[in-house]
Amino acid sequence: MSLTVLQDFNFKSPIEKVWLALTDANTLGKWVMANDIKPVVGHKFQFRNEQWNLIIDSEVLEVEEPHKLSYTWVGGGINTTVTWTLKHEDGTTHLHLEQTGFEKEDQAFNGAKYGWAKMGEELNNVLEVL
Amino acid sequence: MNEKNQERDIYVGIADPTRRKLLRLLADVEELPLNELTVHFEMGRTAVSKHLAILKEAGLVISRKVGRETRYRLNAAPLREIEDWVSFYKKFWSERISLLNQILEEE
Repeated sequence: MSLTVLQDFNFKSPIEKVWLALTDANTLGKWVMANDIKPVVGHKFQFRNEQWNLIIDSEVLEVEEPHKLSYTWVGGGINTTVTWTLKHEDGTTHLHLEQTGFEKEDQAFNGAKYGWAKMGEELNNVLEVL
Repeated sequence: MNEKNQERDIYVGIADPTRRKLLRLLADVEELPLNELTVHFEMGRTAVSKHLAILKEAGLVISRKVGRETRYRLNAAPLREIEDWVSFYKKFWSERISLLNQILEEE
């Protein structure tokens, strides 16, 4: 039984460009949420979305430009770690996502699914407008 | 009295590594008696039996008496709830990434 989210994505863009989208606060804000990330180990930052009333507390755990980025993702009732791994091959940038830590049990864990369900609906609305 | 087959939160059921291992052991077989489950653990049968009781309360395990022994069987259906929950994140990231794709292609 795995309570890890694993996903793979491919992009035609160069690895540096994908890396920038993951580590530059402004670009990251365009596709995830407003944030103050810096690709520096130990840097503490937040993802914020006022519309969803959501704040995610994060701390950068690992930076290996442009191949690996890892940070904590704590908020919305969950305590997880998000790790991005990048690889460039034959003109394609492969992006691998791992979000781990879902097995950590507490009261909030159970509540989280409702929060995220709501967020999923909100997201659909947001995406339709775009 | 209500929902007798799930008295305990499923997330509590899978929170403990011993219980996750029990589920995995039971996933490979039709059913197993307590003794055969206990050999896989450092702890005694009483402790294993307590974990099985929690799994039963969470609706993840079904037991039946055969002669003097109790045999346990996996009931995986409630795990669906967890799968659904984790799938929110899958959906979340897929949607985020499709936005990223647009951004990368625009530039």
